[in-house]
Amino acid sequence: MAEYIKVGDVAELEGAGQFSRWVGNHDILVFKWNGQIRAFTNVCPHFGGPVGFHKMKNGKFTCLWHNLEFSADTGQCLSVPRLRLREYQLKIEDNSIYARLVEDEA
Amino acid sequence: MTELHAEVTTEAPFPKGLLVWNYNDHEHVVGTHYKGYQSIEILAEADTWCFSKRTANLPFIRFPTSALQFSYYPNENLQRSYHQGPFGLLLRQEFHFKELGPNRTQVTLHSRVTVPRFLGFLQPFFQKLMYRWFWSVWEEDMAMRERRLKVWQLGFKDFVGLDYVNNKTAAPEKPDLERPYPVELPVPKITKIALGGVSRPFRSSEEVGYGLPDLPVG
Repeated sequence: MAEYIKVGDVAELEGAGQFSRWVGNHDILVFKWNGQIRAFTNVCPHFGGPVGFHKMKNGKFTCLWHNLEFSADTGQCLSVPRLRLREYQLKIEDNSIYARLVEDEA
Repeated sequence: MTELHAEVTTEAPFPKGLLVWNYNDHEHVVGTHYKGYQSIEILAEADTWCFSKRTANLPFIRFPTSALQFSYYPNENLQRSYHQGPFGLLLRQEFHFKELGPNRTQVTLHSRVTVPRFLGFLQPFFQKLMYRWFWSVWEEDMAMRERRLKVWQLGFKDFVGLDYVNNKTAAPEKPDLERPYPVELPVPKITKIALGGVSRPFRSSEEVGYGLPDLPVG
Protein backbone atom coordinates (compact mmCIF):
# COMPACT_ATOMS: atom_id res chain seq x y z
CA MET A 1 0.00 0.00 0.00
CA ALA A 2 3.14 2.18 0.02
CA GLU A 3 2.12 3.64 -3.29
CA TYR A 4 2.06 7.19 -4.50
CA ILE A 5 -1.31 8.84 -5.11
CA LYS A 6 -1.83 11.77 -7.43
CA VAL A 7 -2.59 15.00 -5.56
CA GLY A 8 -2.50 17.46 -8.43
CA ASP A 9 -0.55 19.02 -11.25
CA VAL A 10 2.50 21.26 -11.12
CA ALA A 11 0.48 23.88 -13.02
CA GLU A 12 -1.82 24.23 -10.01
CA LEU A 13 1.08 25.82 -8.13
CA GLU A 14 1.09 28.77 -10.48
CA GLY A 15 -0.24 31.93 -8.92
CA ALA A 16 -0.31 31.36 -5.17
CA GLY A 17 2.56 28.87 -5.18
CA GLN A 18 0.48 26.46 -3.12
CA PHE A 19 -2.75 24.49 -3.15
CA SER A 20 -4.50 21.94 -0.98
CA ARG A 21 -6.76 19.02 -1.79
CA TRP A 22 -8.37 16.04 -0.09
CA VAL A 23 -7.04 12.72 -1.41
CA GLY A 24 -7.87 9.39 0.23
CA ASN A 25 -8.95 10.99 3.53
CA HIS A 26 -5.76 13.07 3.63
CA ASP A 27 -5.91 16.85 3.21
CA ILE A 28 -2.58 17.68 1.60
CA LEU A 29 -0.98 21.11 1.31
CA VAL A 30 1.37 21.23 -1.69
CA PHE A 31 3.66 24.24 -2.00
CA LYS A 32 6.75 25.51 -3.71
CA TRP A 33 9.40 26.93 -1.39
CA ASN A 34 13.05 27.74 -2.14
CA GLY A 35 12.68 26.11 -5.56
CA GLN A 36 11.40 22.81 -4.18
CA ILE A 37 7.92 21.30 -4.33
CA ARG A 38 6.95 19.88 -0.96
CA ALA A 39 3.82 18.82 0.91
CA PHE A 40 2.58 18.95 4.50
CA THR A 41 -0.68 17.83 5.99
CA ASN A 42 -3.16 20.69 5.66
CA VAL A 43 -4.91 19.60 8.87
CA CYS A 44 -3.81 21.77 11.76
CA PRO A 45 -3.11 19.44 14.71
CA HIS A 46 -4.68 22.00 17.06
CA PHE A 47 -8.36 21.76 16.07
CA GLY A 48 -8.21 20.64 12.43
CA GLY A 49 -8.21 23.98 10.62
CA PRO A 50 -6.82 24.57 7.13
CA VAL A 51 -3.11 25.43 7.41
CA GLY A 52 -2.90 26.59 3.80
CA PHE A 53 -5.96 28.84 3.69
CA HIS A 54 -3.82 31.98 3.56
CA LYS A 55 -0.96 32.29 1.13
CA MET A 56 2.34 31.55 2.84
CA LYS A 57 4.27 34.67 3.91
CA ASN A 58 7.93 34.92 4.88
CA GLY A 59 8.27 31.16 5.06
CA LYS A 60 5.34 30.74 7.41
CA PHE A 61 1.87 29.28 7.05
CA THR A 62 -0.84 30.74 9.27
CA CYS A 63 -3.81 28.48 10.00
CA LEU A 64 -7.11 30.22 9.32
CA TRP A 65 -8.98 29.22 12.45
CA HIS A 66 -6.63 30.30 15.27
CA ASN A 67 -3.63 31.85 13.54
CA LEU A 68 -1.21 29.13 14.58
CA GLU A 69 1.96 29.63 12.55
CA PHE A 70 4.03 26.85 11.00
CA SER A 71 7.50 26.93 9.44
CA ALA A 72 7.51 26.11 5.74
CA ASP A 73 11.02 24.71 6.21
CA THR A 74 10.22 22.12 8.85
CA GLY A 75 6.46 22.05 9.50
CA GLN A 76 7.23 22.97 13.11
CA CYS A 77 4.51 24.99 14.82
CA LEU A 78 5.94 28.32 15.91
CA SER A 79 2.99 29.10 18.20
CA VAL A 80 2.62 25.85 20.14
CA PRO A 81 6.01 24.08 20.15
CA ARG A 82 4.68 20.57 20.69
CA LEU A 83 2.77 20.63 17.39
CA ARG A 84 4.27 19.80 14.01
CA LEU A 85 2.92 19.10 10.53
CA ARG A 86 3.64 15.75 8.92
CA GLU A 87 5.53 16.03 5.64
CA TYR A 88 4.61 13.77 2.74
CA GLN A 89 7.14 12.24 0.37
CA LEU A 90 6.48 13.44 -3.17
CA LYS A 91 7.22 12.19 -6.65
CA ILE A 92 6.80 14.32 -9.75
CA GLU A 93 6.21 12.69 -13.10
CA ASP A 94 4.96 14.28 -16.33
CA ASN A 95 4.00 17.47 -14.46
CA SER A 96 1.82 15.51 -12.04
CA ILE A 97 2.48 15.48 -8.30
CA TYR A 98 2.13 12.23 -6.36
CA ALA A 99 2.26 11.84 -2.57
CA ARG A 100 3.06 8.77 -0.52
CA LEU A 101 0.26 8.58 2.00
CA VAL A 102 1.27 5.41 3.82
CA GLU A 103 4.85 4.70 4.86
CA ASP A 104 4.36 2.41 7.82
CA GLU A 105 2.65 -0.84 6.82
CA ALA A 106 2.00 -1.87 10.43
CA MET B 1 -36.08 53.58 28.64
CA THR B 2 -37.07 51.16 25.92
CA GLU B 3 -35.74 47.86 24.61
CA LEU B 4 -34.55 47.10 21.10
CA HIS B 5 -34.94 43.43 20.20
CA ALA B 6 -33.82 41.24 17.31
CA GLU B 7 -34.39 37.53 16.70
CA VAL B 8 -32.83 35.15 14.19
CA THR B 9 -33.54 31.42 13.91
CA THR B 10 -31.96 28.83 11.66
CA GLU B 11 -31.08 25.13 11.49
CA ALA B 12 -27.67 23.57 10.98
CA PRO B 13 -26.69 20.05 9.89
CA PHE B 14 -24.41 19.49 12.88
CA PRO B 15 -24.53 17.84 16.30
CA LYS B 16 -25.29 20.19 19.17
CA GLY B 17 -21.87 19.50 20.72
CA LEU B 18 -20.15 20.85 17.64
CA LEU B 19 -22.17 24.06 17.68
CA VAL B 20 -21.50 24.53 21.38
CA TRP B 21 -17.78 23.97 20.67
CA ASN B 22 -17.92 26.58 17.92
CA TYR B 23 -19.63 29.21 20.07
CA ASN B 24 -17.28 28.56 22.99
CA ASP B 25 -14.08 28.49 20.97
CA HIS B 26 -13.64 32.20 21.68
CA GLU B 27 -10.15 32.35 20.19
CA HIS B 28 -11.34 31.56 16.69
CA VAL B 29 -12.92 34.99 16.27
CA VAL B 30 -9.55 36.52 15.29
CA GLY B 31 -8.84 33.59 12.98
CA THR B 32 -11.95 32.39 11.17
CA HIS B 33 -13.52 35.86 11.47
CA TYR B 34 -10.28 37.75 10.90
CA LYS B 35 -11.98 40.27 8.63
CA GLY B 36 -14.27 41.38 11.43
CA TYR B 37 -12.23 40.93 14.59
CA GLN B 38 -8.82 42.34 15.44
CA SER B 39 -8.08 40.89 18.85
CA ILE B 40 -9.45 38.87 21.73
CA GLU B 41 -8.23 38.54 25.26
CA ILE B 42 -9.63 35.91 27.61
CA LEU B 43 -9.59 37.66 30.96
CA ALA B 44 -11.00 34.83 33.04
CA GLU B 45 -12.68 31.52 32.39
CA ALA B 46 -14.16 28.47 34.07
CA ASP B 47 -16.00 25.40 32.79
CA THR B 48 -19.22 27.13 31.81
CA TRP B 49 -18.32 30.81 31.56
CA CYS B 50 -15.83 33.09 29.88
CA PHE B 51 -14.99 36.77 30.37
CA SER B 52 -13.20 38.34 27.42
CA LYS B 53 -12.32 41.60 25.73
CA ARG B 54 -12.63 41.76 21.96
CA THR B 55 -12.11 44.41 19.32
CA ALA B 56 -14.27 44.16 16.22
CA ASN B 57 -15.38 45.98 13.10
CA LEU B 58 -19.19 45.93 13.20
CA PRO B 59 -21.39 46.28 10.12
CA PHE B 60 -22.39 49.90 9.36
CA ILE B 61 -19.85 51.26 11.87
CA ARG B 62 -16.67 52.64 10.34
CA PHE B 63 -14.31 52.34 13.30
CA PRO B 64 -13.27 49.33 15.40
CA THR B 65 -15.08 48.98 18.72
CA SER B 66 -13.92 47.18 21.84
CA ALA B 67 -16.32 45.35 24.10
CA LEU B 68 -16.12 43.33 27.27
CA GLN B 69 -18.05 40.09 26.92
CA PHE B 70 -19.27 37.70 29.55
CA SER B 71 -20.74 34.40 28.34
CA TYR B 72 -22.10 31.54 30.37
CA TYR B 73 -24.05 28.34 29.97
CA PRO B 74 -26.99 27.91 32.37
CA ASN B 75 -27.50 24.53 30.68
CA GLU B 76 -26.46 22.64 27.53
CA ASN B 77 -29.20 24.25 25.47
CA LEU B 78 -28.65 27.89 26.33
CA GLN B 79 -25.79 30.35 26.17
CA ARG B 80 -26.17 33.88 27.55
CA SER B 81 -23.74 36.62 26.55
CA TYR B 82 -23.42 40.19 27.78
CA HIS B 83 -21.42 42.71 25.76
CA GLN B 84 -20.46 46.00 27.36
CA GLY B 85 -19.76 48.26 24.41
CA PRO B 86 -19.35 51.94 23.60
CA PHE B 87 -21.53 54.62 25.23
CA GLY B 88 -22.24 52.31 28.17
CA LEU B 89 -24.62 50.19 26.10
CA LEU B 90 -25.15 46.63 27.28
CA LEU B 91 -26.04 44.10 24.59
CA ARG B 92 -27.69 40.97 26.00
CA GLN B 93 -27.83 37.87 23.83
CA GLU B 94 -29.31 34.41 24.26
CA PHE B 95 -28.39 31.50 22.01
CA HIS B 96 -30.89 28.65 22.23
CA PHE B 97 -29.81 25.24 20.94
CA LYS B 98 -32.48 22.67 20.16
CA GLU B 99 -31.40 19.20 19.08
CA LEU B 100 -33.54 18.10 16.14
CA GLY B 101 -31.59 14.89 15.49
CA PRO B 102 -28.09 13.42 15.85
CA ASN B 103 -26.76 15.77 13.19
CA ARG B 104 -29.29 18.57 13.16
CA THR B 105 -29.62 21.48 15.57
CA GLN B 106 -31.78 24.58 15.63
CA VAL B 107 -30.14 27.80 16.77
CA THR B 108 -32.15 30.84 17.85
CA LEU B 109 -30.49 34.09 18.78
CA HIS B 110 -32.26 36.81 20.75
CA SER B 111 -30.43 40.14 21.03
CA ARG B 112 -31.60 42.93 23.30
CA VAL B 113 -30.33 46.35 24.23
CA THR B 114 -31.95 48.92 26.52
CA VAL B 115 -31.77 52.51 25.27
CA PRO B 116 -33.38 55.87 26.18
CA ARG B 117 -36.97 56.00 24.95
CA PHE B 118 -36.23 58.66 22.32
CA LEU B 119 -33.90 56.15 20.57
CA GLY B 120 -36.73 53.67 20.07
CA PHE B 121 -36.86 54.65 16.42
CA LEU B 122 -33.58 52.68 16.00
CA GLN B 123 -35.46 49.34 16.28
CA PRO B 124 -35.41 48.62 12.50
CA PHE B 125 -31.73 49.52 12.32
CA PHE B 126 -30.96 47.28 15.32
CA GLN B 127 -32.80 44.35 13.74
CA LYS B 128 -30.90 44.89 10.49
CA LEU B 129 -27.55 45.22 12.28
CA MET B 130 -28.03 42.04 14.31
CA TYR B 131 -29.36 40.16 11.31
CA ARG B 132 -26.42 41.12 9.12
CA TRP B 133 -23.91 40.39 11.89
CA PHE B 134 -25.45 36.95 12.57
CA TRP B 135 -25.39 35.87 8.95
CA SER B 136 -21.90 37.16 8.16
CA VAL B 137 -20.51 35.24 11.16
CA TRP B 138 -22.70 32.22 10.37
CA GLU B 139 -21.39 31.88 6.81
CA GLU B 140 -17.77 31.90 7.95
CA ASP B 141 -18.55 29.44 10.71
CA MET B 142 -20.34 27.04 8.37
CA ALA B 143 -17.14 26.18 6.49
CA MET B 144 -15.38 25.74 9.82
CA ARG B 145 -18.09 23.46 11.21
CA GLU B 146 -18.22 21.35 8.04
CA ARG B 147 -14.48 20.81 8.15
CA ARG B 148 -14.48 20.18 11.90
CA LEU B 149 -17.17 17.50 11.48
CA LYS B 150 -15.25 15.91 8.62
CA VAL B 151 -11.98 15.60 10.54
CA TRP B 152 -13.89 14.59 13.69
CA GLN B 153 -15.49 11.68 11.85
CA LEU B 154 -12.03 10.69 10.60
CA GLY B 155 -10.87 10.39 14.21
CA PHE B 156 -9.34 13.82 14.86
CA LYS B 157 -7.97 14.49 18.37
CA ASP B 158 -7.42 18.04 19.62
CA PHE B 159 -3.74 19.01 19.91
CA VAL B 160 -2.78 15.72 18.19
CA GLY B 161 -4.40 15.61 14.76
CA LEU B 162 -5.23 12.47 12.82
CA ASP B 163 -3.30 9.45 14.09
CA TYR B 164 -3.08 7.79 10.68
CA VAL B 165 -1.59 10.97 9.19
CA ASN B 166 0.95 11.40 11.98
CA ASN B 167 1.86 7.71 12.08
CA LYS B 168 1.90 7.37 8.28
CA THR B 169 -0.38 4.36 8.46
CA ALA B 170 -3.46 3.50 6.40
CA ALA B 171 -6.42 5.86 6.67
CA PRO B 172 -9.86 4.53 7.61
CA GLU B 173 -11.75 3.54 4.49
CA LYS B 174 -14.85 5.37 5.67
CA PRO B 175 -15.42 8.13 8.20
CA ASP B 176 -17.19 7.16 11.41
CA LEU B 177 -20.46 9.01 10.88
CA GLU B 178 -21.73 7.84 14.27
CA ARG B 179 -18.82 9.18 16.33
CA PRO B 180 -20.49 11.00 19.24
CA TYR B 181 -19.73 14.70 19.63
CA PRO B 182 -20.09 15.44 23.33
CA VAL B 183 -20.56 18.89 24.84
CA GLU B 184 -17.22 19.53 26.58
CA LEU B 185 -16.43 22.86 28.20
CA PRO B 186 -14.30 24.82 28.40
CA VAL B 187 -12.75 24.54 24.95
CA PRO B 188 -8.96 24.16 25.43
CA LYS B 189 -6.97 27.33 24.76
CA ILE B 190 -3.64 27.85 23.06
CA THR B 191 -0.63 29.03 25.02
CA LYS B 192 -0.72 32.68 24.10
CA ILE B 193 -4.01 33.29 25.91
CA ALA B 194 -2.20 33.03 29.20
CA LEU B 195 0.11 35.81 28.04
CA GLY B 196 -2.64 38.34 27.43
CA GLY B 197 -4.69 37.34 24.42
CA VAL B 198 -4.25 36.95 20.70
CA SER B 199 -4.32 39.45 17.89
CA ARG B 200 -4.47 38.96 14.17
CA PRO B 201 -0.79 38.42 13.18
CA PHE B 202 -1.07 39.97 9.70
CA ARG B 203 -2.41 43.14 8.13
CA SER B 204 -3.79 41.56 4.99
CA SER B 205 -4.26 38.12 3.52
CA GLU B 206 -4.17 36.65 0.08
CA GLU B 207 -6.69 33.85 0.49
CA VAL B 208 -5.97 30.53 -1.19
CA GLY B 209 -9.07 29.00 0.37
CA TYR B 210 -10.23 25.73 1.89
CA GLY B 211 -8.90 23.66 -1.02
CA LEU B 212 -9.28 22.56 -4.60
CA PRO B 213 -12.03 20.16 -5.70
CA ASP B 214 -11.38 16.43 -5.60
CA LEU B 215 -9.55 14.92 -8.53
CA PRO B 216 -11.70 12.90 -10.92
CA VAL B 217 -11.78 9.20 -10.06
CA GLY B 218 -9.87 6.85 -12.35
